[in-house]
Amino acid sequence: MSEQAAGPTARRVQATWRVNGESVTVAFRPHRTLLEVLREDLGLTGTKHGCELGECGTCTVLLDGEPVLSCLVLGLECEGREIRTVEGLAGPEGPSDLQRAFAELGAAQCGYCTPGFLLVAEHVLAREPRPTRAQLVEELSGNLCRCTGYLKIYEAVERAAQRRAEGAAAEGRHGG
Amino acid sequence: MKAFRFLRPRTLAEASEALRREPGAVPKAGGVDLLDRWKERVEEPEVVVGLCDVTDGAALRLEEDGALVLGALATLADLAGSDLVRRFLPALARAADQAASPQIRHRATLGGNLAQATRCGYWRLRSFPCLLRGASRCPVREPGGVQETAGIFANDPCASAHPSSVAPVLGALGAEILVGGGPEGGRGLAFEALWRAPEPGRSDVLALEPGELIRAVRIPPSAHPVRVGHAEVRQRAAFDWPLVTAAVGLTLDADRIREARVWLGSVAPTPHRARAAEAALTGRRLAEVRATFDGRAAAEGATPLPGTAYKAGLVAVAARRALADALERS
Amino acid sequence: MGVDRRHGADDGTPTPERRGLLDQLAEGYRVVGASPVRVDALAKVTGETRFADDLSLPRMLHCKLLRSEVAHARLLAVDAAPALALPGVVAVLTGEALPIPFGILPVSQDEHALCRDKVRFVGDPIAAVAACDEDTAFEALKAIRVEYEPLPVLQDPAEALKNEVEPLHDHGDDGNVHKRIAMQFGAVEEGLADADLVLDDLFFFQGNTHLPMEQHAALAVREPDGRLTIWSSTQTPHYLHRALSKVLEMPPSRVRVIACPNGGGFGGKSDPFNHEIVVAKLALMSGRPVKIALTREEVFYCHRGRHPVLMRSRTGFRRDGGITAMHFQTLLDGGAYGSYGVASTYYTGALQTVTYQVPAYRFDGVRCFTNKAPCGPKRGHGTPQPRFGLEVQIDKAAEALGLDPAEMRLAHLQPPHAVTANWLRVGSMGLGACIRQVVEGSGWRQKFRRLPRGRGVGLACASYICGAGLPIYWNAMPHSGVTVQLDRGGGVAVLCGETEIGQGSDTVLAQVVAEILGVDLLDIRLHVADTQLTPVDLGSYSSRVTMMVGHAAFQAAERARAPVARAAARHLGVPADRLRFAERRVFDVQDPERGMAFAEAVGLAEAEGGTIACAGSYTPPATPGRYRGAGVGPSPAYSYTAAVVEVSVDEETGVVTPEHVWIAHDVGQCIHRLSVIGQVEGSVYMGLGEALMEEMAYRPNRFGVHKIPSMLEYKSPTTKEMPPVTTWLIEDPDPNAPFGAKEVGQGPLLPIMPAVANAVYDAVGVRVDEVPITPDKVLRALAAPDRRVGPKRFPDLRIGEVMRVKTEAEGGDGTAPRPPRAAARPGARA
Repeated sequence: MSEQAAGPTARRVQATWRVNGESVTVAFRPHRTLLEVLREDLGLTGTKHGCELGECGTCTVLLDGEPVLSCLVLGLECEGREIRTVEGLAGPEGPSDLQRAFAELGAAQCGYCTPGFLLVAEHVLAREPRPTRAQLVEELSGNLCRCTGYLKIYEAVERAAQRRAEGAAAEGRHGG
Repeated sequence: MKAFRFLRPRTLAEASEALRREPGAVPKAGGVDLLDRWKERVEEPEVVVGLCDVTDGAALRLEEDGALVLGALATLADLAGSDLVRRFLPALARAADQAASPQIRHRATLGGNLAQATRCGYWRLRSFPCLLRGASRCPVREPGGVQETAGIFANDPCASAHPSSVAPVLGALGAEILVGGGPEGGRGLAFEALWRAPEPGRSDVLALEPGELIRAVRIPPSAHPVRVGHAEVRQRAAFDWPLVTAAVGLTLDADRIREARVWLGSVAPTPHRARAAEAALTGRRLAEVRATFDGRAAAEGATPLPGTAYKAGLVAVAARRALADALERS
Repeated sequence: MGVDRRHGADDGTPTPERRGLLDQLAEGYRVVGASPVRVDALAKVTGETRFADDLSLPRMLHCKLLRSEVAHARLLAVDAAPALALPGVVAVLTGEALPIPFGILPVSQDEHALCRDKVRFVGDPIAAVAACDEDTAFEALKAIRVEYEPLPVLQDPAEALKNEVEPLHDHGDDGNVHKRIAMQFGAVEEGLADADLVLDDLFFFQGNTHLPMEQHAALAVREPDGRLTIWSSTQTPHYLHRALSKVLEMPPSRVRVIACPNGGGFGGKSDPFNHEIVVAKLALMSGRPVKIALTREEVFYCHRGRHPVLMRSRTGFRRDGGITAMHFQTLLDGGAYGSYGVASTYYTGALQTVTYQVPAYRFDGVRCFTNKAPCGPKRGHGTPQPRFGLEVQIDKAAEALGLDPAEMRLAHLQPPHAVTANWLRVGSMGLGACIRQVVEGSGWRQKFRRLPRGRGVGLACASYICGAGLPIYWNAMPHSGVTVQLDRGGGVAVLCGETEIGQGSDTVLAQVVAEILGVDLLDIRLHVADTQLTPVDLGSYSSRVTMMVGHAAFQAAERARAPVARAAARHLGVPADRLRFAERRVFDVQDPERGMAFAEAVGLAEAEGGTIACAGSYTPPATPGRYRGAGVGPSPAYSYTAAVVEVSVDEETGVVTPEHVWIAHDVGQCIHRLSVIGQVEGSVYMGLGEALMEEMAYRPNRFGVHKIPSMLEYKSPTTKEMPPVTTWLIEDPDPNAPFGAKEVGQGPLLPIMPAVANAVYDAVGVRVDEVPITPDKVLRALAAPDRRVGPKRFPDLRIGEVMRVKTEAEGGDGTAPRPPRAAARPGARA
């Protein structure tokens, strides 16, 4: 069957993903990237794009828990996989501790790269509860920010790590 | 990006079959480089053979004979994080861990890293002439061409540079390439045989037959101790390719160098073997090369363009540092 | 902490309410100077901020532009009809439909939304398609046929100066010379002759671009009644409003521009752009919403970034380091259009005089058109380039004179509250404090010329304007307006045309109002950057927002406070000047228990005098200079910065690694302290990028194709290139500024590039007199006999008449004597 490259009748494929804990079925054209499907077909515009060529890290999401550039993943490749975007970070009670730390410490200026940084930071904290500054420099090196010079971003991740550690300690005391 | 048909085989064998069945089909693993090329319309494939469902291509394993076999679909993050690789091939783990960015390392595969295309800005801008895309001459070589990142070896008629920083380390390790699925079934290739010289009108520099895929990289066992070191010179420490990569592999006979392998990256259209440097090291004692090797032999045969004159010096620096790295790490 | 007694006064009458407010502020600020969570922060961290490309509307079409692939050609034919025939294509547009030119400055209305007669750079838009989706629009571009007649390509401003080829434009001073300036203040040659040391140096500052993370996007819709609304990522909705109205021939009252929060601007979204006008036109034509989101490559073509500037600085120094006279020359590569270029050219000569005393000063500046993406304003607009030259030259002079560069600068600072040779009135001036702070904090005395080889420190200083004294188009109206409207529930609506580009302007606006009305930030609802709803603010550029919006907000809030204070005073039986507004209450300062909720007081006031909605506005004070060109450089106040950068230099590879930056910035007074520090750190970051890697370079052999229209090849610093930064804020409130607050968004970038260059010299003894200082240049300098890389020739700018203005010391009055009826300039065409 011949493909229609473009136009109003372009063929679509259907896929089922888990997005932020929910199962979603979505139809899209076969060459669309995860980024495009998230933003345009699922209305999850929290994921931003800075280049669509894998050059900036802005569109980072977690795919099965690993940070990837959603502009370089085809939607077709996500069948049955777990995707986490910035919309999945806040809970019903509001922004997460990491998000609050970003807000409190000025880690978001224009805010455009922020979702990407948050998802990488979330991934880092999941594996390393108290990352060193050197680890943060390394782990965040795939995300460009033109506003902050990165320093406030490190401080925010460190504050969130510290709060989580304090929270865990407090819980431990209460539990023991 | 232009729409394409997407096939999804389950095994490497199925993938090869699909490639043979569909002339012009392109295999896609991580797709980090490919998606860029497709989005920029440098290439517009009709059929893509997606390897995302292939289950037999990513294993990293130690064979009974002591060889290490690295599946081509292993990601750079897999290599950097693998206990096996870190233990037996630490230089490879480090090279993989320094490439690109964390997010890209989670997607980019070993095979894709070896198969990636040049970063040449002329090749990557569709609207402009390029020898690899059929023009009569390489614009980089013309007066006024942007040359800083161009090749300095084997750079006529095409001055592109192969950007892989992992390939030189594999070369220094004496790696072999296992390819599969071509008309002859599976076969092993000497490391350098994976590439061929650039030809006018042919964008890729891989020496694969139609339907062939890179299946794995094999690091053969050695009866003698081997030391491998690597060094990169880069302007930006992340999210970038090195200006020059050098890797040195030494097979030792007590304190004497039995065999030396010196490979360079980002200096020629394909990963470049620095034979003069190998000759300068082979047969020498470690203490001697430690004191005298200045790396300049690695730049022998360079034919830099005016804009790349500085790179010959960087080659020597990188080779010297790679040797030092090899000597430091036993 | 001083409180400005002048600002906000309606007519200076000291009403009891006003006295109460001033007393309240004199007791200390409650919100100003603190670091509450920014009003936009939570939306940004949850991904809920709606940037322009996040918007979509039912039936929306997607637009793509066909851009020129050649740098200079006459357009013989453009046929878009075949594209229109394709399925899914709804409308096509060519230059024919948009004959009216536009441009940011009234003197250079030289852009068309789509090229009509010629294309002038690779990336110049020729035609547009609106289609059902982006892919369809993209495919349709291929069907558009363009016939070009190639024209000679100008890539080098020195070539352009010669005027040997057909000019790009029919405006400008002389052929391809867009602007030529020559002005002199005081006896320059005599000053040079009297000097103990005259340095004559050449510098080159390569162009670079803003690289905001957000790619420009715009969405336009024709409303059912025919009016137009457009959302765009623009820093200057007011100027876009004017351009749309002009080009589309619609009354401004029927055009509504809403600036979305910008995902970074840095000056790159300050011009009205082709794509904004195109989607507006397509929406009017099709009756459907039309959106465009530029690709990253297109963002490089929009550019308007830092001009490449070749400089010659001839400066005389006395033995003690004092400057006797300076003759500064600049040659700007303007690219293909005017943009802000005339202002940029003046700025390359404007601020040399505000840091150190320069008793006699001459400036010659020329901007040429070339066939490249147009240059314009980037963070520091026109001043980082000369600042680089000046600060490196001072470092050289200090060495030649055997002086410490920090001490030498300290000994000859421009005095505060004084007028410079070129008639700029400097207000508060904290540069001395800044220098002393970074010298102390960095261990300068132990490090300078004392670190091991390969490691070095460099010092540099700078100053920047807090808003331009004059507007872009001549008018006598306010530069900024704010409306404050109180509701009886205690809420405060604040309306202002200002645009949040990440710098924190929304928060500053809210803080100023909260400080005066004593309410929480959460009680304030901002309505910003909507030309139909909000009073005009000229935009987020030239570091003007805190100064001008701050003044306007102060005035509006003070006016809204007065009736509330009056009503509360009456009700509580307390004199109005004893009332304080804080903690969402209005109370007697002598008996804080005696008071009422702010909401209640608003209700009383509303009952007495009706709905409370008050406007405030701000116009900068008159400037002392009254010569032609005196409009660029004056500002209500100037910020000052000093920085020390420590680098290590790998002599084998030429790689320069910044190890630490110490920076002190005279901000007058922080409004939002954390954001001020954030702006300083961000400026350091961007400065390091300009110093070491960022360059907007072209391919000479490909007729001006951008060398690297991608974010990988256009290198900007990653986390791994960013060193630790130690920041100090010098707070000495400026009497001309709201709460004394000066700018911070741009000034702190300026000293970084020269400080890096000076540090490289300290580390390995080579002078790289150009930026970026890339590894290949360091290696070349190390190998060069004179240990220098940098420009070697400066072309004849073919200056004719030099405008002479007497300095204040010479008894001048700020005017230039009228020149005799101009003889033809040497380069002028017959």
